[in-house]
Amino acid sequence: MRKGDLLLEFDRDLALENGYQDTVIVFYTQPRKIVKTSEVETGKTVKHGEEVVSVEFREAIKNSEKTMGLQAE
Amino acid sequence: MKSHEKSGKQILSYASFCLGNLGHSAFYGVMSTYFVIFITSSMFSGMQASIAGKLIGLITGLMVVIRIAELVIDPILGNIVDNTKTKWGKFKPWILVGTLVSALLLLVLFTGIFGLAQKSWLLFAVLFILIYIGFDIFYSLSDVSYWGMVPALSEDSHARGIYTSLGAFSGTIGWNGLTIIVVPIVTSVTYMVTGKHEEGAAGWLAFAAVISALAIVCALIVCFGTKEKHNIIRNSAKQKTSLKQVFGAIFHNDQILWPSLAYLLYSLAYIITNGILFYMYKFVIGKPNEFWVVGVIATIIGFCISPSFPILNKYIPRKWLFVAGQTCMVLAYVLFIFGRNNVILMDLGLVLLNINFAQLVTVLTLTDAIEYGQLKNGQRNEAVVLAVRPMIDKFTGTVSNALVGYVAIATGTATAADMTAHDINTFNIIALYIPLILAVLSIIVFLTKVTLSEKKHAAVVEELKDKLAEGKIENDKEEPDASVTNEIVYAPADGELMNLSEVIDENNKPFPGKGFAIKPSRGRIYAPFNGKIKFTFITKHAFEIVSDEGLQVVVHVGLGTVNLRGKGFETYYDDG
Repeated sequence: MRKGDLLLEFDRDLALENGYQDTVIVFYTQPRKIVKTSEVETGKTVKHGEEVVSVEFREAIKNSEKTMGLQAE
Repeated sequence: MKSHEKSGKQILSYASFCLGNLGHSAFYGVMSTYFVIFITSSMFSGMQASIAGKLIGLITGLMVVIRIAELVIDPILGNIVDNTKTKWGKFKPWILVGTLVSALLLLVLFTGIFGLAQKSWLLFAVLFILIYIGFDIFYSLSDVSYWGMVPALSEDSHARGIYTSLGAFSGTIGWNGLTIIVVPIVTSVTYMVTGKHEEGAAGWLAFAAVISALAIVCALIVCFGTKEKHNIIRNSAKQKTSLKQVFGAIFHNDQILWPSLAYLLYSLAYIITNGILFYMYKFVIGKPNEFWVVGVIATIIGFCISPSFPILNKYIPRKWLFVAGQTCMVLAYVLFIFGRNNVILMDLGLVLLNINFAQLVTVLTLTDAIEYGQLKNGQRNEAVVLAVRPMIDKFTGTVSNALVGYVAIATGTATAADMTAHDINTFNIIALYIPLILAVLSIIVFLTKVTLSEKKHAAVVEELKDKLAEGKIENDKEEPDASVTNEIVYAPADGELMNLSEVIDENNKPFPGKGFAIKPSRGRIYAPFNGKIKFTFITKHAFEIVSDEGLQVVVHVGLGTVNLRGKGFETYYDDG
């Protein structure tokens, strides 16, 4: 998967009609590894692919895993 | 990215794939059910009864052993297919070669290896074993390739679903169609050859030839009508699962275990009855020429049941659909036992027998159990879970083979007039009373032990989401020695940025964890960085991705959207 690839389309109206919200949420699943993040500019309107946040985190992934990830590209 | 227009090529591809399974599954029906009936009724007619009995016992025993061995062999064959490289792709050559060779070998078997048994039964037995094993391997190669081809035909999960359901649909027609045509073909050809109105070897050979030809034609249609795509990364290697993994997954996840057991009970009952119905028409009712009705009714009901399931499921939870289907089955047995002399009651029984939601409910429950297992054990076993149901089907198919063989040996060349009250009683116990008990047990198991309803699954996913956000699912140790890396996260959608704490979920709680949110203006989600998709929730509303640098995030689309169960979501990627 490359940055900007279309991954999913969803029917916002269907969600809203059924009483659900359409908010798109991005959260980190290893919060303790996050060292710091830049401020998110709340309220700003963005286009997809624009920079939102810069995340500093500690990562000790094995080299083998890294190469596998690259191969899969 | 692909647009979703249904171009001519796309329709041709769907239709070809669909037709492919018509011949393929009819062929499977011949080898699994009718071959046994042929062996026991016609293959050794005219031979000394004691030798014929021995050979029948040997052959049916062998078939059971091979079917069980197949469970282990299939992954090996899958590997062979995966490692094949030709300019026609890796699946088509095996579909064609597998079908051709297995069709030819099956025909040789249907000739009684050219009448060899009459000359030397020992040589016959040895050759039979060799040919049957060869036949089974080539059949499995075509089977593995046919279904393995689906991911290669489209990268869009929606289109894959269409391919799979089209295949399953025509499979039902092929399978039930056999029941309709078997007696007319076998008796009319036998009559043409011998002048007698009965089932004979010549008729059976003609039947096998017709279906083999159909299988070959259908295989050719698949090969010419579909196109393997080369531009995408497929990870079919990941789909290979060993028997051990399957059993491990079943026993470590009670919501895989119990639905599997309930399905096993249902499947045993259904397949025992189906395998033995031919004998019921032949011996108990004494009207083998009316057997085609069974196929017609099964086909018509099959047409109605699958499409009606999603509609009914909108109003009725799947648990109660399972119970309703099984109750129909129980009633069907009651009708078979008490109403067999009345044509209308028999037909009504056949209708009820085929109203079953067990398979659909089981598939849905098992897929939901993937997230249940992830919450419980922290492991997702998608490929394993999806392998459970076909494996149960293979197992019950084996039991049915063995049982049909047993009934056939017990009845030998008898006709309805030879049946004593004791024989009929034995028949009733095997074909009706035992399945009746199995059907009742499946209801009990499902009602008392299967707790993973649609609602429960939504709750499991919510809990899983919270735990993921709190870092309780992924390995989240602080690693003070690890180097600090930087990753920039780009907006995955158009819209207005929000803080996570501003997001209030459907239970009026702020969204837990660290991250950000976007109030979207369009319903499109794009990759926020270079990386890999780790997994997608069954309901498609959320997925976890890991960046090339190692940052792991979940993209969660909408709140409460888990309840849409995938409706309104279309994905454009492969996990991995």
